[in-house]
Amino acid sequence: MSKRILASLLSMVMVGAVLSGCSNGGNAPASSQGGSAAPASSAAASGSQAASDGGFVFNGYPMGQEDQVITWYGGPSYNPNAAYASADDSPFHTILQEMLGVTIEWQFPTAGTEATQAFNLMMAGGTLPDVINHTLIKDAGRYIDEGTIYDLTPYIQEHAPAYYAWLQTDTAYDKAMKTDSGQYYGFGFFREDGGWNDTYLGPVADAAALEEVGLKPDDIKTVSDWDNMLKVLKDAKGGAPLSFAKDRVKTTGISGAFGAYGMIDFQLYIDGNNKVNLAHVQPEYKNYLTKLNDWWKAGYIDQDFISLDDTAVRAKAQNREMSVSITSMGQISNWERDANENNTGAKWIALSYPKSDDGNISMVFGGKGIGEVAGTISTNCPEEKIPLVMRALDYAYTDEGFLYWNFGKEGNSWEYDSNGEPQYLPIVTEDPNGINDAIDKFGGSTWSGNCIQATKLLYLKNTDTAIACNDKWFYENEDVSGNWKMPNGLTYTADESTRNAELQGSIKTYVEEQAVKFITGEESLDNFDNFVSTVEGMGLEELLSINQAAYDRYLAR
Amino acid sequence: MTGQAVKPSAPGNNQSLGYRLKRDFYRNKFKYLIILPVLVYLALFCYKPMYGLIIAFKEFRPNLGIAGSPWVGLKQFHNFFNDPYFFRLLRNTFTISFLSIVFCFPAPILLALFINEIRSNTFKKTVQTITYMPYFISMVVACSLIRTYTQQNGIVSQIVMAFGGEATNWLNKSEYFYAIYIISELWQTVGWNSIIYLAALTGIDQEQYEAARIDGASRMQQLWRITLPNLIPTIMILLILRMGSILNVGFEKLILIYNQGIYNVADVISTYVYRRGIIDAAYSYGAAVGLFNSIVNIIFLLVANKLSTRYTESGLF
Amino acid sequence: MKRTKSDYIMDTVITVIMVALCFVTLYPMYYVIVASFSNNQALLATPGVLWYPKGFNFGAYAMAFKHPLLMSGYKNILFVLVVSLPINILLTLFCGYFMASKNLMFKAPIVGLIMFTMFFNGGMIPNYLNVRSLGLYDSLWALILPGALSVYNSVICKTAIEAVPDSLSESAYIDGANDLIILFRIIFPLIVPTTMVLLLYYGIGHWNGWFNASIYLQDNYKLPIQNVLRAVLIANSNILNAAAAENDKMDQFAETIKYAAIVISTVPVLCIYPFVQKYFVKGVMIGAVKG
Repeated sequence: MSKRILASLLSMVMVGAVLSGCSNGGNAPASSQGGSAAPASSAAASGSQAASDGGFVFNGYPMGQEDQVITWYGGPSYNPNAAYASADDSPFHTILQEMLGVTIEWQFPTAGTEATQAFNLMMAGGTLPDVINHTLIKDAGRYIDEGTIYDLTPYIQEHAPAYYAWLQTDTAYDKAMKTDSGQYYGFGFFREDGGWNDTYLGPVADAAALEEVGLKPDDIKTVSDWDNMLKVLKDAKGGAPLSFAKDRVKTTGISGAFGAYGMIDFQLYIDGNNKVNLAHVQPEYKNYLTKLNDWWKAGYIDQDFISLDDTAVRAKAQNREMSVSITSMGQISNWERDANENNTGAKWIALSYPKSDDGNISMVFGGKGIGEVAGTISTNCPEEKIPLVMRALDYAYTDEGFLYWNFGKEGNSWEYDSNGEPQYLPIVTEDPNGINDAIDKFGGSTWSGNCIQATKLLYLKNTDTAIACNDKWFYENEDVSGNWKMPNGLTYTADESTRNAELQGSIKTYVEEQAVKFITGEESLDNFDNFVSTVEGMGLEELLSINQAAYDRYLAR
Repeated sequence: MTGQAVKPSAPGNNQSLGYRLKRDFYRNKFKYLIILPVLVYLALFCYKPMYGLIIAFKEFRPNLGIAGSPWVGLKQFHNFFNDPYFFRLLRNTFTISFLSIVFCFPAPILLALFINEIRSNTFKKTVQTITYMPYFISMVVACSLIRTYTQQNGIVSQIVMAFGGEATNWLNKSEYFYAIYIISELWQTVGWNSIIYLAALTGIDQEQYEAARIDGASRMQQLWRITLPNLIPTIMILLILRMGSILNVGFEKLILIYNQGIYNVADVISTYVYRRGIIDAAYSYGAAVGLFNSIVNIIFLLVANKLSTRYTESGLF
Repeated sequence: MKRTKSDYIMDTVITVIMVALCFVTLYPMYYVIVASFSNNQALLATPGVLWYPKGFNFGAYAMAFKHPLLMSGYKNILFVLVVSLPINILLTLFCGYFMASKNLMFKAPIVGLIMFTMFFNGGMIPNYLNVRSLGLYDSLWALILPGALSVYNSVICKTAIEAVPDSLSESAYIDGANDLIILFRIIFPLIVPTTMVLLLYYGIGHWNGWFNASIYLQDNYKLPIQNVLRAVLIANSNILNAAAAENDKMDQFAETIKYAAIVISTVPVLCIYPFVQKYFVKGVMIGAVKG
């Protein structure tokens, strides 16, 4: 027996030697995963290169720093058009390097990979790129404290003058790009229109189908009108009259008509008294779900909706399998073009966001024209390189860069027309896959980015009908389109950020799943009270108080 | 297997340890040489990441690294056991696994018996080749087919409507999920898994059948009296082996076909680990749940192995 | 031998069942082929059972071959297979041979170390960190090395080696052969069927796998074909901007190109299969039944 023990001990020693042999190799990079401790060696190397250039002096664009490499994680905001396998083939990404005069190593989530997964894995270990573009605004304070990203305050005025000037044009912009302690953390996304296109989602209907059953789109204003419309359509045409992609309804859908503030996605909102609440535990929300569930049971709602995406809904629209939907302005452009090309006879137009029968509406999908993403500079970027990186990011906010990020290079993809307005060249307008698809081959601002989105771009991209949709959704509800939203720019303290992530993680998983089940009747709405108490048991109160505190601080700034 | 290791083959039972060590290394130097790359591989890709398992007992913060993250003891486990989904995850994992065994295990046996009864050799070959084929369709493709065919206006709906049923999205309804999962699993594997039984069937002594026929046994009787008893050992061994991987339900398959609407039946431990650990960035929590999964798996494997050694005299280890 | 009436009934029943089974098995695949040659609009307009292509054309194939990633995906998986399989087989043979050998002082503890890894692994995040720390991130080696050996397959290999009579290797020892010579010259030729089975197991594992590539790779050009398929088939290639306001790409082949991609990616594998088949039946017996 003792021999066996001895033998196994010896072999342990043997394997131990093997193990320690490789863990020496393995541990070194592992310890530098704490990015704050020391910049990784590769970054240090390129840093010393910068120093040997005798420091970087900005003399306008292009900067003539082609030997300098900026690693840039673009996230999902301006990933290359699907026609290109990588950013190296994409006109927007390659020409941007020419315009800037630096070399950029682009990083994006790989095809088919969820952006959150890519981001979380990137943050979990390894060398961070110089620029990280992601929806990390609320946690920006923590990332600065932890030493993951730079506080840009010392640099912003000198090295990003255009951006700084832009932020000063509106206190809301400036406030959004700072933490509670007044540190600038990144380069945000702004809509030139100030919020009009933040209401890019809304209800639509096939006017031709409504006409067939004797309805007028303008008369569909309240929940009862919707009840009637869906019933009539169902009776006349069979099938499910209302279909939509889950992504298009999951934030709010038409919850405003019920005084509710969300549909599937976990959503915090601000009520009239500046109190932070969770949409899913309100009695109004239950009313909303009850109605959706009624519609589901009556066969009004497409049973595929959980797994539908825009492509699938577009096909349904083209085949006229549905008559009412909730979708985006961009999709309406597509549907209209499809209908014209194939002579389907469909006439997609906007419906008003429905109101309650006594005319109330609590909110519509919308915002303040400030995006949720920000381009930040990670501490893996050596300090000497910050000015260069800041200039590269600042470009988008200069007059020339604004045009580039939106339309591409002048003379290549667009030209000024006789009115002095940018107009696309045939390379875009005559793209075989349509102008919609071609636009983001050359520009980076179609829906998000580290830039200012030109309203002109949206007008060029979309059909008149689609623009009219956005107008209707927004102007009819301007007063309730953005105030309910947790402001972008609110930031947590380090402790809050960790605790919030923990609580929100479990609550989010739970409420989002239950929401779907309530709609589809998998879970009876009789259990709604149990649902609420379960959420409370998961730490709802603490979650709300964290967010309330952060919001109060934001207001007090 | 154990016990052989130090059983001396020479009369030098009382020789010194040093001597025996030397002799062992001298005699078996090539064997140790051969196993070295394997051990290096295991050290680098199995044991080294195992060190990372300690994040299950920590609050992993990427900026602090594995070593620097603060310890939190059993907090992650505690949270998991109090997770509203804890029982559901266990239930789903076991249900899917159990149903797979109940349906997917006997099906290839049945198929093999059928194929064995086919008289025409060409037909036999054709059936075999056709039923194997789906095994070579990749997971991603198979799952995309499942998703397409079960849509509201997909093939399944059309067939059901032809028989007077109603169209729906089958994959969005909890009540059909297991059926879809099992049927697609059968489609992909039944032919393939029948190979082993067919091979065992061809090994049966033909004289037994002749003797039975002379005694006037019908084909059904031959099946019950000769074929099945001959298959039993093969079936037993495969069954026990299968029991050992009870919690290894198809993560890569589930993640491709499930959706929020059917989490209540389709969400299993491994998919939950993925969603919480990677998508929600709850790294430590995910690690703790994963560890729990491993431990349950080991318990099952040890039990299965015990059964295996008892009943078939050939364990896994 | 005379055949009774009940024999005929049984034969008929079996034939009917088998024909039905073959039909059910084949139809989903047949549908893919038919759909891939169809016209996109016509396909969308006729949901349900199809017997022949609607509006026959090769457009989807032309598009699929033009897909920027499909061909690179093919190339990548081929690289992975060509490099991995020899490593897989070599390590498995080594491991199996060691586990099958006798009279080793350290066999028990080493085998213990090997078997332990069958049940315990670091999990997603630690494995990911490990791959990064070894410098394999965003390299095809990240798909090759971490799965270089399957202990389960080694056990199959071990059983096959144990089935080789001891006398063969003993006489070779006496002739002065060492273990390497015995393994490759004497044992290997006798377990070729098992090796083929292992090749198939490993090969199918590499071919099917997509998850690791989705976390270990960063460059689209390095993605193996399954990940490209996943992007095209499951994520509709636009999942990246699923939450986008303006995510709107659908070309005239959106639906049919999916089917064409399936055909293109599956046919080569089906062609390999007959070559492996004859070994498989033999190998699986030796390997698993006695397992």
